[in-house]
Amino acid sequence: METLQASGKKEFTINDLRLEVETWQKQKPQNKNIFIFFKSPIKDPPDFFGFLISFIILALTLVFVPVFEIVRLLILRPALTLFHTTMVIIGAALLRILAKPLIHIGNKAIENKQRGIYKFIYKKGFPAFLQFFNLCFGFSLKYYLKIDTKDVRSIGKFQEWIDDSCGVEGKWIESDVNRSVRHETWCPFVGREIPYVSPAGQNSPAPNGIENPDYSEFCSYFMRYWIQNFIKSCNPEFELAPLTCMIPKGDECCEFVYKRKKPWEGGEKS
Amino acid sequence: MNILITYSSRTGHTAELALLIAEELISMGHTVDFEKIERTVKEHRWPLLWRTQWHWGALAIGLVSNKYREYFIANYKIPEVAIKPLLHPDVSEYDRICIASPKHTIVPCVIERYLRQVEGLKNKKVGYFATWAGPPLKHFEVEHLFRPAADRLERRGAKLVSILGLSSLYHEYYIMFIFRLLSKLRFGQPIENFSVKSDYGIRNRTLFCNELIQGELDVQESKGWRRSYDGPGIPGIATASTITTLRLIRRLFIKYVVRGRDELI
Repeated sequence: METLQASGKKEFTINDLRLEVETWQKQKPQNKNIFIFFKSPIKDPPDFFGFLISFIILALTLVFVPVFEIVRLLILRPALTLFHTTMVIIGAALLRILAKPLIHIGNKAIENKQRGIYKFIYKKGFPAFLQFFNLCFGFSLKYYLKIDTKDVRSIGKFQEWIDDSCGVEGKWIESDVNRSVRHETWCPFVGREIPYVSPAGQNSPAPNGIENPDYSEFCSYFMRYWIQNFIKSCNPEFELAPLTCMIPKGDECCEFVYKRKKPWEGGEKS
Repeated sequence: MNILITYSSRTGHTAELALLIAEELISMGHTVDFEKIERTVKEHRWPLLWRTQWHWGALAIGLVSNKYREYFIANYKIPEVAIKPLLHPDVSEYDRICIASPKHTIVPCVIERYLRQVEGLKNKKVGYFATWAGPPLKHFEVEHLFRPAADRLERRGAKLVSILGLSSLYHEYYIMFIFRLLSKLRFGQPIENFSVKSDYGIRNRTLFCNELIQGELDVQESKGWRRSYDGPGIPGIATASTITTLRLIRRLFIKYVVRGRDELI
């Protein structure tokens, strides 16, 4: 109060506020319909042109601000961009759509192993496809999954993403920075798209006269090459060991072993 | 308790709410002083709109991406405008501070200036009440105003302990029909049920005053959600992103159509 008197300002009391509200209530503004502007632009030109300019600015901002923001975020905060999120969603959707046709093509090639189509698909087709996939989505996945390239378990998030997208179930048996092991315990494709081979060695009927076609070859090639490609792009010091245990072969699970190429010799981490 | 109510009102609705809250606080036996924040130059409503139009495009992205909305709310910049000299430039003598404003897409420019200018906010417990056109939508109204306000108060060393947002049933840019529709869609109730003089408004006014006096709650921790209305209606619409809404529709579809069909079989 003393400061008010010293500064010579008048105090604002509840009675002043009451008076203000009472005065306002007498001339309370009423809501109007937006289309009023189109009906009478001459009656209130400042309002009409204000609305017109606002509408133009709004239309422009709705187009340009998202573009500008995405570009800005791409530079400043790539992990948060819509771009990467969109790419990951597109990748997951593609995976779901393409999984069955790819398995079908892979199996057909295995059934026709003596023909040139096998060589074409497994030596040229799949590598090119997987490289293209990693080129398109690898970068976004690295940011989206927040992958630490010095941790092999973190790189394994890529496989978790594939599993989540396709409906494969699995768990990590070992989770070390230098060696991690994942067991895929259930796969929706085995027994359907990928014929199951019983442990007794009784195979499904051999098509095209080929004896015991090894359908697990598709997984052991496709999955390994794919993950290997991704690991290479993250950190060339790591690798995925060849798949030995596989469900299509009759094992209980598919075993994926992520490891360092050269064993860690101790000392400070780089 | 010595309380200061600082308010900024453009169309008069916030002043009305400030009066009602002041009367309630006085009836509880507290002393209330007032601070009216006014701009040095009175601005026409259209230029005022242009000041915040940049954020509208960002709001559009926020409807699609929850992550972006979080980022936007945490980082958006509020332009400042010049305000008339304050009656109480130092608020250290007050036990509680109440800030009242409308919501101009985001925190109003005058409040941004006031929060930078005022002295003695350190260790103060602050309440924030506002009037806006729409119903208390969680993502659009409550979060857009109170979370940045809580951030700004925290930077000044103050703590936001109570919040209140009520519908003024008025929009300067003649788009009230959108909010009426949203209220029906989201809450299944007319927007009048969320106005200053509604039962909801009276109940929450009392709650606001009680929490302000108690000063125990930390709104920053509850992220400003607590006071949003969580009633019946069509959940998800207008409060969540498109993806969340689609997920919800899918879940409801599975719950009522797919499982229902299975039970029939």
